Amino acid sequence: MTEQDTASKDNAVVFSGVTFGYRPNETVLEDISFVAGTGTFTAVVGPNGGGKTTLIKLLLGLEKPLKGEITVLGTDPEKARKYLSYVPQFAKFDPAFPVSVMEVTLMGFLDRDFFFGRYSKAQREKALETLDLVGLRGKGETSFSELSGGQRQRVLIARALVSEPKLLLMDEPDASIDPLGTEELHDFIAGLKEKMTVFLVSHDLNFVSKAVDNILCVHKTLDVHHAHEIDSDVLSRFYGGGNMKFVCHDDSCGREE
Amino acid sequence: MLAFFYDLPELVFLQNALIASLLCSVTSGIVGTYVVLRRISYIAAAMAHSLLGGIGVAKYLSSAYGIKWMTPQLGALIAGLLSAAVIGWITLKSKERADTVISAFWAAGMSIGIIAIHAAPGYSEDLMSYLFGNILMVSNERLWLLGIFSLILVALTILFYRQTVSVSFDEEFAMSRGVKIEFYYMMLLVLTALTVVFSIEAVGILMVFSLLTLPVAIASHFFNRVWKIMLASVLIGFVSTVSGLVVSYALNIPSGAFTILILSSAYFFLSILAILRKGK
Repeated sequence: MTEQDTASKDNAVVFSGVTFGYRPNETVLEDISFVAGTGTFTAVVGPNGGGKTTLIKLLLGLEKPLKGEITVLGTDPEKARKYLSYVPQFAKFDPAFPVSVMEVTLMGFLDRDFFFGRYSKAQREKALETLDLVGLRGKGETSFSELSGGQRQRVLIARALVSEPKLLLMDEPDASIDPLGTEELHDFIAGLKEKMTVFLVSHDLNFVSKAVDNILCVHKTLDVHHAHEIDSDVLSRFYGGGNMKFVCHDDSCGREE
Repeated sequence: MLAFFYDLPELVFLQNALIASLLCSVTSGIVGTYVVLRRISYIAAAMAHSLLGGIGVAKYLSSAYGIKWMTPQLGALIAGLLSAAVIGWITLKSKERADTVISAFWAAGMSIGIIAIHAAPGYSEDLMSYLFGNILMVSNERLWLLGIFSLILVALTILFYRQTVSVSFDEEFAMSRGVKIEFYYMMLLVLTALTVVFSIEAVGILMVFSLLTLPVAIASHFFNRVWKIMLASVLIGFVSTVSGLVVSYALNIPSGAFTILILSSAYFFLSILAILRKGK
């Protein structure tokens, strides 16, 4: 990549030579470089423990690289954080936590600037609007714990969207969703890229095939592919031959359109 | 059984005990809700038990060296804040080994306490009241402190409600929004320590942790919002501590133990009922 590429304002995310490890001698990511343009949809794939979630944490500025530089929305990740939003891995939640769908959605408005009192009327309206958008009209006062897995996932997406982020990061959004809603949700996420840059971590490659512009294969090191380049050679290099979890994938990935 | 209510208008210590029950129910209902939601009841239990160390050392210093201002309550307060600081630091620094260190803290606190109380000159008959509580012994001064603490706690809860619920629900997301999660975690530990210190008279350090968790566990059977669980826990705590007080006054049994017996019976009853209902 040239100097001009990395400095361009059209790039939402730039990683150059990033190395990271939780302990100095055990690197999780090594010499990672890539560029994601504004309004693009990037899928981050790779085996478990390959460093996908770590990459997202670096993007959010929750972890700092040992070496290299990260630019997000033209500045450093911590400063960019208020324009970012995050949909965490869904499986980690306490399913019995006593909150309403509306309460969870409104959490998206929290920020570092301390404020107290109630959420404003405008914020409540925006939250309702966003719940409509993700297909949860009229569910605001329902308990989070009463929803199906797929519906909970949508609430978390709504929570991430209320703040109108410029960059949306999703960690394994398909991990435990109910099969019926999956297709619809995929279309919805694909539609988001008109408004924002989207990063999506997934180990279901079928999911990423549709609207994806870039695929980052993370396995300590990084391979960047434009969506149409992915073939089973690439896949088996990263996931190890016959041991693939997602058997439904083949060479036609990304060429369907 | 009604002796308590006949004597209430006459006897100041009964009135004090009643007010203390109410205030302890408020503090443990609120703090207990967060302790249960954030799954740190083990930490709360360790904190409570380690208070014995502070109480013992204070007793030793005051009776062996004549440092009169070093009261057992002050010792408990110092031990409580110290354990909040140390346990908070350990759990924030190292996620994996935290439970072992917390257990060590728990045991060390109790052993220091027992040795110090044993070594202190003079009688130590009030050891029992620290372990099991004696709500009829609450002093006026203590009541004032408890009242001030309750007010501060209620104010903090209202001011920080959204932040604390968000952090309890999803720490990572809150962090990604720039919310200072370490601050809220440490605040909760300090408030837990203070709640435990102020509940010693009501139920004693061995059972205070049940006063934090059982009302919340019972309330969770009926309510599905954090604030509702909080209010219900306060009410449940109050009903059970007052019942404990009334019954123990009539039958001359320890009130703290009876309070916890009521709470745990109610909890078991509801849990069994819930299992049976699910089975149908």
